[in-house]
Amino acid sequence: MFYFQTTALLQALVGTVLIFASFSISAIYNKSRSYLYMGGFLMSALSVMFWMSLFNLFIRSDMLMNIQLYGGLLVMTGFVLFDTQLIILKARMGNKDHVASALSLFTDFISIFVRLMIILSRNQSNNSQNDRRRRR
Amino acid sequence: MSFADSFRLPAMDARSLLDLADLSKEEQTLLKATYRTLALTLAAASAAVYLQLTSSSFLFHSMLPLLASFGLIAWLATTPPTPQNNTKREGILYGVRFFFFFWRRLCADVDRVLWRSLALSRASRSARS
Repeated sequence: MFYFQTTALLQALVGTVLIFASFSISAIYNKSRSYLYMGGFLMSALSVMFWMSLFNLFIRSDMLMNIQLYGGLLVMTGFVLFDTQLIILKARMGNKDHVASALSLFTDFISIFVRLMIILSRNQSNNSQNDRRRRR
Repeated sequence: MSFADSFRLPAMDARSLLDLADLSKEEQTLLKATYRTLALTLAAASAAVYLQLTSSSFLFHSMLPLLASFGLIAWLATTPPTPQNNTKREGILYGVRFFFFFWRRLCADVDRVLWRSLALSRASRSARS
């Protein structure tokens, strides 16, 4: 069966909602739409992360995994900013397709959630192991 | 302006946060529809995960949900994004997300990645269960 830690699940959900909401709202209130210029940087970061994860399948480095987790969190929060402003820009150009827009935001949400979940769950597991060691 | 004044924050009106005047009416309705669709998609996905965590069925292990989600993805890709079609496409999107997260392998994969990252030995895993 599944070994998720339930407190980590709840914390990750609340954390993701908070992160997502604040970044999305800040992208809406940024009237100059300056986050759109992050697009190229974010796409190349995503491509680097993809090749890194493929490479990591074979060498299984712990450091690369950490870079994937925390760097990926950073990139995906950037994508929330970028995607929100891209949706507004497309709407300004006359795009009425809210389904594709929702799908791009959904992808960002899930990516943030999975990474936050792994980070929190790992930290809790490490803490409980340390507690057990201290008690001995 | 005195030196102390340079540390003072400019007066900020909290009502300016509710000011979305730079977005036109159409953009606001599209944003609302986007966030509504996002919320319902997340609800569909979490409903599927909840179902497979609480109940047991042969369907979770079969390839049927995955095939259903692939079929729905093909349908979604071939439906043109016209305003008349948008309600239908929204429904297809919920179906895609529901069936994709209904598939047990996905959860098992996330679970395996999680446990590989936790680097727990088989002994501690059997002690837990």
